[in-house]
Amino acid sequence: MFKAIDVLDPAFIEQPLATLWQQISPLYSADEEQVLRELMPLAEPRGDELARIEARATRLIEQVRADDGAIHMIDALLLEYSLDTREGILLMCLAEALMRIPDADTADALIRDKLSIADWKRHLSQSDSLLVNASTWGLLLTGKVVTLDEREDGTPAGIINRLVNRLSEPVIRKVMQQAMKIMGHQFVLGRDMPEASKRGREYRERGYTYSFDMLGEAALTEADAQHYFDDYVRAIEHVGAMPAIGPSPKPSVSIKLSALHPRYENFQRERVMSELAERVLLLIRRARPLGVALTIDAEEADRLELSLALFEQLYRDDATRGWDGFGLVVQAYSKRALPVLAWLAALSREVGDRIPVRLVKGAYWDSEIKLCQQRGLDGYPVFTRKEATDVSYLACARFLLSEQVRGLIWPQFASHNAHTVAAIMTLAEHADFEFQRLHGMGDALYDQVLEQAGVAVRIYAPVGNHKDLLPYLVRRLLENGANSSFVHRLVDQRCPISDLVQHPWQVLSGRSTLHNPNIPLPRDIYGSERQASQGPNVLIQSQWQPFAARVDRFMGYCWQADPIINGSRETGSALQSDVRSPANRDNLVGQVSWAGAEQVARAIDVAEAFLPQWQQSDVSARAAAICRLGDLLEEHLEEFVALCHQEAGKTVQDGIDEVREAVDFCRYYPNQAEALFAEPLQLEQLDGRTTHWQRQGRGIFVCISPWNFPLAIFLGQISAALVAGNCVIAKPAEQTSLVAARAIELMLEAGIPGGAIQLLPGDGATVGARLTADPRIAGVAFTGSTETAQRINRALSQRDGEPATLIAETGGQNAMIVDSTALPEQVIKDAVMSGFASAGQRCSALRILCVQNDIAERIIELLKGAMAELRVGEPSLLSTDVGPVIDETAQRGLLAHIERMQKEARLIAQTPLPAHADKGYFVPPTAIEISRIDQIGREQFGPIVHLLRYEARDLDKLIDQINAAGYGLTLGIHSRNERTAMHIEARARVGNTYINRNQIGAVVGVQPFGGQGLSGTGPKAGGPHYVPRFTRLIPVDAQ
Amino acid sequence: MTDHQFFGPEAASVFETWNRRGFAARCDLLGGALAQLPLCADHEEQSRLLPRLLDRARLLDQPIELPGPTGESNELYETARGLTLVVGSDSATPRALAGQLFAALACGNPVIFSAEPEPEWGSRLVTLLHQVGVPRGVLVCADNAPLETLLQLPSLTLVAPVCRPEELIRIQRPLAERDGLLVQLAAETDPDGCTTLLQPDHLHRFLTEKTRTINTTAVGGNATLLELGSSAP
Repeated sequence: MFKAIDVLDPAFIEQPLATLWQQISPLYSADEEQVLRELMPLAEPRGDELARIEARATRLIEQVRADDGAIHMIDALLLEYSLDTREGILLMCLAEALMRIPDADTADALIRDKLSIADWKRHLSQSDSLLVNASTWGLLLTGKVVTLDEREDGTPAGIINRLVNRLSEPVIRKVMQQAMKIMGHQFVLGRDMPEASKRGREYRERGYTYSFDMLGEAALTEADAQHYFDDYVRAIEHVGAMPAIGPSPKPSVSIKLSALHPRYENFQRERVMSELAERVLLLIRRARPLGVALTIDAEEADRLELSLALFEQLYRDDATRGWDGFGLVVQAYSKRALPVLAWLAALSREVGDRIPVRLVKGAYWDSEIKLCQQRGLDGYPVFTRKEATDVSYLACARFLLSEQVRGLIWPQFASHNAHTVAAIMTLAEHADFEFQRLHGMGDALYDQVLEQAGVAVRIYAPVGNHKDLLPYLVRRLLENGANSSFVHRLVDQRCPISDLVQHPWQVLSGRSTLHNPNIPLPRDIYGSERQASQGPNVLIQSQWQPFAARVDRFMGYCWQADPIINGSRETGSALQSDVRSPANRDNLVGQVSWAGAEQVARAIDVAEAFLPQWQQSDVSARAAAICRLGDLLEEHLEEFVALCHQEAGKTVQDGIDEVREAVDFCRYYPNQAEALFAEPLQLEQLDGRTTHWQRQGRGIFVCISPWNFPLAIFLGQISAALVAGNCVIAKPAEQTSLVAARAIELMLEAGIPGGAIQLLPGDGATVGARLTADPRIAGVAFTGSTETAQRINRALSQRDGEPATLIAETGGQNAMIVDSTALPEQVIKDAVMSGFASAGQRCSALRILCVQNDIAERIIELLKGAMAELRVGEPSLLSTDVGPVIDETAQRGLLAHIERMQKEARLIAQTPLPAHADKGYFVPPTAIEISRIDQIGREQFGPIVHLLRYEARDLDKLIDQINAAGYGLTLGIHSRNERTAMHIEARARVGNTYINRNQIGAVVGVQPFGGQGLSGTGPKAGGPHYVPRFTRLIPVDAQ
Repeated sequence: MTDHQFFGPEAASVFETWNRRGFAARCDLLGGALAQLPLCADHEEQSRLLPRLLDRARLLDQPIELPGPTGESNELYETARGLTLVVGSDSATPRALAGQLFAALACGNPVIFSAEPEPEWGSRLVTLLHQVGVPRGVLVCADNAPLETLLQLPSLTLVAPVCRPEELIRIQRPLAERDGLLVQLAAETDPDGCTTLLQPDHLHRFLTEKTRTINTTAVGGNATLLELGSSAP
């Protein structure tokens, strides 16, 4: 563990850079308690620091509160509409979306959606701010007007109300758009640099300076990246030409790397280190002669290591050497913040140029937490308590202000917290640093600082269109608008000053735990019920490197699959086939021995013989064995990832997700079964008698699984059937028999008896048909095509006796509906992920992207650009986004469809294939614009997305068309209008609907998965009704 | 024979309205018929069975909230499967037929009801249900249409027969021969005891599940999590 206190030893930063670098990555998700225990001594006030900081902070707050102009409009808005009120959230939501909606009807609908359901009256006259009260009146009246048409009773009053509403809509829309512009104006310094420098002049005359930020979110396309690059160049040139004003230091420019390259991510490391580096160097070459300092903004935690590597490369470049104007931002909420600063100090010491470093608290906290939980990581990269971040900030500050760092790093302390500011001023024994604040916030606080501290204050000021501002604005408001935020409490006279000047070290020391017990670790998000599956973060060096090395050990391995009957592998079959990688047919992966008719018969005999014993076994013993299997799968993660690469053509993340899903099944179903079997069920009969019933497995279940989830669906079906007390005969897809065989070996190792599970690799004619014709089979769990499900159903119905249970999960023709309130960049990310991840070979994958005509051109433009950035290739490479399809039959069918569509529809874009593509079964990701859904025909199980435009007024017709296709598996909806989203969701006859996100990757027990109509029979896999379907209730006496 | 012959051209929108009415509202409405059920031999058993089914169906109104990552809401709920054929064989009893019918309707399905071997009683029951508010477009009598014909209705999604176990094959085979979706069977094979109808799993057979996942951070941010960040003791 990194010894934090050691950083104060001047010798610490004299260590080799590589040694210091090694300290950074392991802290990514290190134990929070341990990290904080290390940091606490650095943040702990020494001597009389505590009293001095408190006194200084108290004075600052008193002065701020005494300042009549302290509460600016935006502060007042935040105070009144904090984000713990429904109105606050609705206001932010409206602010985020309204300005980008091109069509009036949809804009009006969004205003109705957001304004009509809130209680604006509650906020009336609560604030001293004229603007807030005026806004509240406006919102109240608007809210009233927009709800008038809810009375559709046909009475004269109702009709008049609707007319009033209809007539007033354009006015309301204009007023709301104006209101949003006013809000934007508070946070954006100017729409362009001339306007920004004009507005900023007054502040500069008072001694402030600026760091200009060009508004815009991450670029998704090369065209967007070029556009942002041009903006930065213009900004640099403008700032370079700005005259010196009084004591105000020269302004600088902040750069967001994600805006300069469409793939600024570790997956595309080589491109980042070459293409992006070259682009930033161009900016450095422009900025340096003009004396304009550049700062690289901090972004998500996954990009930190990449950004540092890039920074080092650029910093060492001749273009930068000898210049102390190239800096970066470090986020104190990161567990890696202090070792990053130590490494930067050492880097500066070695190279000799001072590095400006802005220390911020961090703006992506909520999304970092969410992402880690979704990906099952072993911890968080950020602290989970606000006061822990403050402690980290002060620990970092003490280091940055230490004598040995002076001259190596130019600290820029960014905070709106009066206590933090007071602490910095107290800790500093020199004036070689500056403060930074955001434009539109903390004016009164920093007016005092400027007066008292004798150090520079730089304002971080966004420049750009109001439309681009809004996502930024919402992030700032979320960051500062929550009740707990200091900014919020600073201006709230009701909050005692004594509460605001508590030292975070004291606050944290007084907590029962250093970490936040309300935020469980990713593995604990299901509480005591079960542990979530885990996976490594492949974007973090300390996790990726050992993982990749272990996967590599299996990449040359040759696996063998045989029938497994009664726990024994049946080797030596005459029916053997080689297995070759779908990514490269030259690559031999293993051999499969296929089961013959005799083995099918014997497997059924064995299962039948063992059935009574298995049915009578204790459910907890069955559950424990399946849980053990889950643990074994996690232990063998790397082997299965290698197998998934080699046999199924899965990419790195897909391979990890595959194993994680299987593990989740192995932990979810046992819990379900234990609860289900716990007590006999009491039922009162019609004659008044009370009878007792007990669950029992139905008998022998055949599990027929697909190749697209060779481990997860395979084991999902089997584990549910087994834990419910059925004996299972598994027939995996022929294409992925190696994965299946290895899984069954582990299952036996986990303690499932050989009599309970039989494995029969083979084709449908030899194995499947014989199994489904046998009257001893009580049920079939099947995932695959609708046609095969029908064949199985017919075969089962031809038998005499009790009908067998058939649980079938079949195909889909999945749509995503996008209206004009949606954020186009988010739509594209989600559509590309939903349509092309796993080469489109997911049941849930997007096939029809339905886009409201008003935004279709922009969506198409972004889709083209994003597809140009995709990388198709060898699935085991981290840089590969899209791997091969499963086999030649699939490839031929998909290519034929693309060819037909090119004639009958309009090709939008096609991602190029790599040079070696002819060695494998690759299909280029393709987007095609169609005019009718029925042009597509049957489901195309591959990387093909069809785009269909629709008019806003025809939304219901569109839903009818989607329903009429008969499939009903997944649906994506992108809309900021919650009523629209819920209306679509309610009307669409689909099993899984995903709103404002991608539509793949259902999580066991979280998003039970399965469709209706042609897409399946139900019950949903990974849901509470699945295991019961593998059981029947029998009277206790009959047992 | 087409579905329109039974339900008319507005069938789809009538079904949708019925389905969206909610379990509790439908159960309230069906409950209005309990006091006036047409007399038959097992009237008393019906009076015991049907309220229990409605009580159980009422509980299905509440979606199941599923645990998951922060910033996302996940709910599982159930909705009508679709056009349902409730049909009896010679061994069927009114209590079991009424049970299957009430189960299908309470779950929001449109129903074609063939009340063999008690067609007159069945007809009176259907009339009563119309009187208490079940839309005519949602519930119709099979009007002596042969079973083989009914089993081929294009929109059929579920058959809820009342028969002996050995009689099921007569229904299952023609269903399996159909193209399109796999029509489900939700049989009561104990016409007297109605033991299947009394079991907790049975209603689910009339329903299909829907999962609704919302990225709550896209509309309004993750304020809840932000609050959690500082509220812990």
